[in-house]
This record gives sequence, C-alpha cells and structure tokens, in this order.
Amino acid sequence: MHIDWWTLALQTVNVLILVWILGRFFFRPVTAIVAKRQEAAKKLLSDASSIRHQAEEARSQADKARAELDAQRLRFLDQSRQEAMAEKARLLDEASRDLAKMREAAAAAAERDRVACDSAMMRHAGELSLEIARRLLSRVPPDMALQTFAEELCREVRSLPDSSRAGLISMSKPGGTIEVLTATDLSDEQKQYLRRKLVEALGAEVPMTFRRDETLMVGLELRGPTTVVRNSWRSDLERIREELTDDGRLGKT
Amino acid sequence: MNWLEIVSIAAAAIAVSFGAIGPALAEGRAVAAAMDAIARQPEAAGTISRTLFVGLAMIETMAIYCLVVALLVLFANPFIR
Amino acid sequence: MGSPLATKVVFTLGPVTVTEPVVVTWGLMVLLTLAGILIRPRLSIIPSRSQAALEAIVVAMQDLIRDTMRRSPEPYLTLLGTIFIFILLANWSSVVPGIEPPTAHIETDAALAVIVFVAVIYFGIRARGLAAYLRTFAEPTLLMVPLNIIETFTRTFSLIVRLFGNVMSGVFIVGIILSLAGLLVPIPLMALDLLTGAVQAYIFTVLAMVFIGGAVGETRSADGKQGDAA
Repeated sequence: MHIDWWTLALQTVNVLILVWILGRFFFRPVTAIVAKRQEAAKKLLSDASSIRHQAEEARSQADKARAELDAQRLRFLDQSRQEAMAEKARLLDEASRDLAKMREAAAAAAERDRVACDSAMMRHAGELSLEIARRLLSRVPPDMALQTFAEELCREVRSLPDSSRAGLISMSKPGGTIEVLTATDLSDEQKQYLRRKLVEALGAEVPMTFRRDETLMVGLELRGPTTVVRNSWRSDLERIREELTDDGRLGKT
Repeated sequence: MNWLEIVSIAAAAIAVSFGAIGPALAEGRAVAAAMDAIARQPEAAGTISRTLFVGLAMIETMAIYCLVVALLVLFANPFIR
Repeated sequence: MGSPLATKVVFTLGPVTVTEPVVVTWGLMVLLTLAGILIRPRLSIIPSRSQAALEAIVVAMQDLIRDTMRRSPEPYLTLLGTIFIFILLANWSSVVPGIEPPTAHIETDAALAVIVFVAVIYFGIRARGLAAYLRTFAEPTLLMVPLNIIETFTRTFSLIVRLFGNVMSGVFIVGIILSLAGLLVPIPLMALDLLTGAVQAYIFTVLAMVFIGGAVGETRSADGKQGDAA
C-alpha cells in the first residue's frame, strides 16, 4: 500500500480552503439570513401579539361599555315600567271614579226618569179620571143637587172666619155685588131660594148677581172682591188633581 | 505462479467470504429489530429508519474492511516482489 | 484492469506531484465556489424556492448538530457542513464519466480524517482548556489512558478506511461489471453507489460530530459509537 504524501497534503489544504470558502459564501450568509428572518418573524409575532392585546383590550372596553348600556337600559326600562304602572293605577282609579260617578248619575237619571214617568202617569191618570168624571157628570142634570150645594155653600160661608165673612159683606156694601156662579141658568125661584139661603148664612143683605159658568159642572161658587167660596165639582176635581199631581216628590214638572 | 500468489488469492477469497458472513447475520438482525420497532411505534419510523441506515452502513463497514484487506492482498501485497 | 489502490499522476510541479484526486477536488472547489458566489447575493428575507431548499438543508444540519452535540451549532456548522457537502459531491462525482471520486483514494479520506482529528483536539482544548482536555483521556480510570490514546488514532483510521473502502469498492465493482457487460448492467450498482455515497457522507459527518462533541463534553452517547468504530 502506497500513500502519496503530496496528495495527502494537497487534499488537506484543499479541504481547508473549501471549508473557508463555503463558510464565507454559503453557511454564514445562509445562517445570517435565517436568523434575520427568525428575528423578523419574532418581531412580527410580538407586534401581532401586542396588536391582538390591544384589540382584546378594546374589545373588553367595548364589552364594559355595552354592559353599562345594558344596565342603563334595564334601569330605564324598570323606571318606565314603574311609571307606566303608576299611570295605569292612576288611570284605573280615575276610571273607576268616573265609572262610579257615571253610575251614580245614571242612577239619578233613572230615578228622575222614573219620577217623571210616575208623575206623568199620575197626571194622565188624574186627567183620565177627571175626564171620566166629567163625562159621567155631564149626564147629570145640573140643577139636581142645587139644594145640596146651596146647603153646603151656606155651611162653608158660615164656617168662614168672621173677618173674611165681614170682608165679604163690607166689601159688597158700596154698590158692589157678590157674584154667584152657577153651572146652569137658574130659574127665579131658584135664585130666590139661593139668595135667601145666602143672606141667612151671611147674616146680612148683600146684592148678588148670578152668572152662569158651565165649567163649574155642578155646584156653586161665591165670589166676593176679596173672597172666593168654592163649592163645585170643578173645584173638587181641581183639588183632587192638584193632590194627584202633587203626590210625586218632584211634582209640578 | 508461485505459492505466495496462490496463498494470497486464497486468503483474499477466505477474507471476503468469511468477512461477509458476520455482517450479513448482523444486518439481518438489525433490520428485523428495526421492523419490530417500527411495528411497535409507527410514529418513530423516521428516526428508526435513519438510525437503521447508519447502523447498516456501520455493519457493512466490517465487510468493506474485509474487502479492503482482500484487495490489499491481491493488488498491494507487500510480500510479492 | 489497474489496481484500484493506485493513484494516477496528472502532472508534476517541481517536487510536487499533482495526482488525479487533487485535480478533481480542485474542480469541485471551483464548482462550489461559483455556486456560493452565485447564491450569496441572491439571498433575501423572502426566500425563493431554491433558497428555501438550501435553508432547509442548513437548518437540518444545525438541528442535527444540536441534537447530537447538545450545543449551539454555530462554531461547528461550517466545518461539519463543508465536510458533508464535499464528501457527498466527491462520492457522487463518480456519475460523471471518466472521473474517479477523490474519496476513492485513501489520501483524500486521510486528509479529511486528519482534519477531523485536529479539529477534535482544537475544539476540545478550546472548550475545556488544555489540562481539562488531557484529563478526559483518564476519564473512567487512569488505566484507560493508553486505551483512550490508541482509540483516538484507531477511530481516525477507521474513519479513513470506512469511507475509502466503501467508495473504492463501489468504484471497483462498477469497473469490474463494466469490463464484463458494458451497457445498462452497471446502472443499479451505480445507483447503489449513490446511496452508499450519501450514507457514507452522512456517517462520516455524524462521527466527526460525535468525536468533536465527546471532546467538547456534555454528551456521553459518543462512547458507544466510538467503540463500534474502533
């Protein structure tokens, strides 16, 4: 086995030169560039992470603001709900009060109507009864009960208080007359009879005039200047009717 | 053709043939063990096969040594001439 | 057919004989230098496809050194990377017709191994100091000192012979096959040569790495491989 020492030396030198060349032109630039890229990537990553951090912070702030807004909204909602409740309660109260008032008014109106209706009915009934009585009486001869009425009239005149009776007499003194209204024309003897009766009742002589008034229906009426003595069916009926219509509490309407 | 040359050729043949037996057996065992390991741990197949190659080359070096000796005996025998 | 162990002298320059492997090595050096000069100004932060591939190779080397030596790869990358690239290209130069790989001759392998040998001592002393480095030879016991010293030489020798034997045998066998059957038949063997060349370049680099790592310290895993290599 033969070793060429020159070759060995030359190859050693060659390899060493190659080591230097490759180190200068290949390995060191490549590792430098790799390191630079790693540096850049690291910087990029750290930048990105810081940016992400900022973004997260901003998001958390936004979250906080949103939560605040939510709370505020809830508060407003609550407040407005309470207000609405109060308003509703107030409205309900008012409405119930109005309703009560209206019900009262309605009740009053109904009462009024009822009363009016009642009185109207009463009036009708009174008028109807009057009408019936009138019709019935129209068939009665007017002078039938003259005597009865005369007696009655005299008794009433007698029962008048003295002052008014005196007034009746005295007022008729200076030529005045007492008017005697009758339902029918009286015959002379009837007039005589009446005059006698009245003078007897009055206890004094007074001039009398006789007048016919059919509205009396049946009966007599004595009219002085200040005093009227009524004794006729008309007056009776009038009184009855008055009583009937006055019967209601709110009569006269 | 003297005795020395005959003995040299025989020695080269013996060196290569016997020198190949050991590495052959060893390589077989190494490959078998590596297969076993890969079957157990398929995820380590890369590392195992890399190490296997290196190991096989190492083992093969033994056979190569024998070959070098045989070649020396044949071509650079210091006793011939 | 000539001896595969012989080296052809191309020319002599005074006392210096320049042999064929030296010339091929010069060719490879020119090639690599040109490539470096071409590559260097084109490196940029945003990598092109080829730059990414180159960077991947460099980063893979860095990772390998870091894994094997458990140290920062910075001081060792250039030496080990150059050794790997040179051996790989030298082994693969057998593809070019008429060129014998420089590593198929024992002088080139010896040169590489000597560089590794010196580098081991240099990095060991630089990392530990001279006394501490010398003390590593008496590592388990004092009895181991002669064995350790012998091992330092034998592992260098085995480094030489491993690379030389593999590449030379490949070239030799292809030569024999070529002399028997010219066409197409050697192609699988040449392909096998390429594989063997790559693996041997890798092994040589890893072993150098392990030796340097053992000298520098911190890793004990080197012992197993050293024993195997010795």
